[in-house]
Amino acid sequence: MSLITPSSRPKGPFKGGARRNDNNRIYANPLPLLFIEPPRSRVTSILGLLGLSLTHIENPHCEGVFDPTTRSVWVSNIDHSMLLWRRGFFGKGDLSRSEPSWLARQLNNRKMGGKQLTSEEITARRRAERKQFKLDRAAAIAAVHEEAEVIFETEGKVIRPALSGPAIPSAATWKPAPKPEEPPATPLIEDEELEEEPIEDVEHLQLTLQEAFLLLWNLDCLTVLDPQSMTPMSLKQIWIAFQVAHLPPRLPSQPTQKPQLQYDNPFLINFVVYHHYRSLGWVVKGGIKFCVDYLLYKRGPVFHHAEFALVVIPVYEDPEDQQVSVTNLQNASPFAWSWLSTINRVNSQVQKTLILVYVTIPARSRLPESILESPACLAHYSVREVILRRFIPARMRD
Amino acid sequence: MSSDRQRIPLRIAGKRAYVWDVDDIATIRAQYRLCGVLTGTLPHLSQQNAFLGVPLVLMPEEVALLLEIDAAVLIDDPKSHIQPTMPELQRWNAGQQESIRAQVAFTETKSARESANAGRAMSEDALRKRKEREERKKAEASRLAEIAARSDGDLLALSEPTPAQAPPIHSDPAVSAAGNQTEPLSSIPYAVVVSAPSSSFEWYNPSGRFYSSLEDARAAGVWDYPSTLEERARCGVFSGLWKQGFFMGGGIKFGGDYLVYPGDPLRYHSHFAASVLVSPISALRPMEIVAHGRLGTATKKAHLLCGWDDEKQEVSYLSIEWAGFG
Repeated sequence: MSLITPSSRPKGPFKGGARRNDNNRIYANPLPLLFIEPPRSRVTSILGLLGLSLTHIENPHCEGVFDPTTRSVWVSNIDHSMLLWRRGFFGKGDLSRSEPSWLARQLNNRKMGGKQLTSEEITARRRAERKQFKLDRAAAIAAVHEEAEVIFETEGKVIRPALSGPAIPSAATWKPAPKPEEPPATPLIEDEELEEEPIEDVEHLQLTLQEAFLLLWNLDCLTVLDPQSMTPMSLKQIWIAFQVAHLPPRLPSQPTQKPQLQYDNPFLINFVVYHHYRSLGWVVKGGIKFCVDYLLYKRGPVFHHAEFALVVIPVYEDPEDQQVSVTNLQNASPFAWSWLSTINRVNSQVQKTLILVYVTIPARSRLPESILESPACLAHYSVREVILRRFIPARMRD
Repeated sequence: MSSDRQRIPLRIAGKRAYVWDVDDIATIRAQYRLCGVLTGTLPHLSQQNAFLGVPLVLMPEEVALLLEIDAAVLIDDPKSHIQPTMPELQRWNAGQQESIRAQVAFTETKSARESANAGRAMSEDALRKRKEREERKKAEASRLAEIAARSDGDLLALSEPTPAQAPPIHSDPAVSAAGNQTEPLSSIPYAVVVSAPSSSFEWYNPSGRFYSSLEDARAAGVWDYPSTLEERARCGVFSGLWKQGFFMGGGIKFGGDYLVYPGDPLRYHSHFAASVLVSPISALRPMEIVAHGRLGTATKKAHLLCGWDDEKQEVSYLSIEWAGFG
């Protein structure tokens, strides 16, 4: 049975509280692993006294395919992708904004009615309404102008046409015109079609390499398959492959050359940050829409807006490593004040606190090269945080 | 434009261009559509952050543009102040004394008039009460002064009414001595007026320190903007937009290099925040597009990417707006 329902929300108009309860139920588990407590008994309490527990861990063991070109792991099994999304908000649907809801949208389109909308559809409708509002307002202003012209020509009175007023809609008062009822004939036909050819789900969940590595290494609930052989990759293979995905492609003339692993590989730095905040209980998602590297959500995107926006700033412990590096790391060299003020302004507009996350890259000289071949090297990275807020003397006097 | 038209003097100190003359500021703004930034304080305003006065500081791009269109001349300002002669100093000092005397006389007549008016307006009773009040205050003050004198002798010296400090040019001991001789004995406070334009000083002589072209100024080490590719790109973009009739202001508040106004910034909001790229094919991170698109649209501006082609000396423009937003 598929976890996905034709609409992402059950039927009926929902009040805020009901939806919150619904979300609390659907997204009850913060991680894919479930901890099943045995029923309380004398045995468990005695064992508890001895520091032992009979809690049994239910591990879902999902499966994904590594895709080096998009630097992601694709989870095509719909049960797995919904599970990873609902328990910890891992990944994103490749045809959706976040939750893989493409199939639900298609089914919804077929079913019509349009009462239960997915978030993408709500956004599209809001944008259309906003556009209509602007058109209406422009038309109203033009009408007022015309009226003033007519009065001037006929009565010779000069009226300065107002840009606002009762005749001109404002963002607060404007309401979309009620939609005319659609004839019920067409949906009926579509309903018949629906039964004839079911829609094939073409969407998959994309996990970033950081997410995938946390799932497979820290939580042990993901198996990554090699894209060529479709066989499970070993931890070491994955570790190397995830780093190599960020390196420039190797020349075909030297296919056997050893990949040039370095401490400043973007995968390592991103994983350090991702792991740091995941361990502290935050839900970490990409932050490109607010021009930052990551966003931190409390519990998850369906519960709260992101509170913090992270800018990852790599710092070389040994500046000479930067000179010989093969990767041109973003933000490794200081950025301009204007850029800092830009990202700070963008994020304060959306009520997010900006955090500069400084990741120290260990010096190559003090560690053996071989340590990069396993996740053991992660112990040598450190993370420092600086919270940034714009201080406006005139407004922050008290 | 007529050939005999006056070039505006821009006084350069520390590679910054200052305009001290209000008429010049008006000409620069009205005729040449350049705004600069007022940086001086206005002593009469209680807050010193909203409205500012002379001098006007011009952006280096504005200076380069004014030179390019032969509208300005650069003056090496620090070197134009020549060591004054004794008669010059004496004349200047006399002028200062004259100003102080005039102020003191004005204050005296004003207070005399006021006290006369006050007497007429008040009844006997009120006058008596006022006298009592003043005496009480005086007694209190003298008591406090005594306490202060006992605890610290220096305080007494400070509490005595002293005239405002003498003018700041005091390197020459002869000058200060001359100043002290003629100092009025009155205890009425007065202001020392230091006139803003250097040209009002007798010993100020900029002749021979005029530079009407960038080459001359650069050779003399007075001005060297633009010298790098980035500076050339900024100047190219600035003059490119200016020639299209726009006004420009600094744009760091909106994530750009310039704010582009369709007319005088006092009358219009800016339509664009422009950022300068040193090459039309320079790399742009996706994050920058997001940031500029978001910030520009949220502040009702389009972001303008201006790519400077240094070989062709051309600018190509591209504007970003967040589609379907807000």
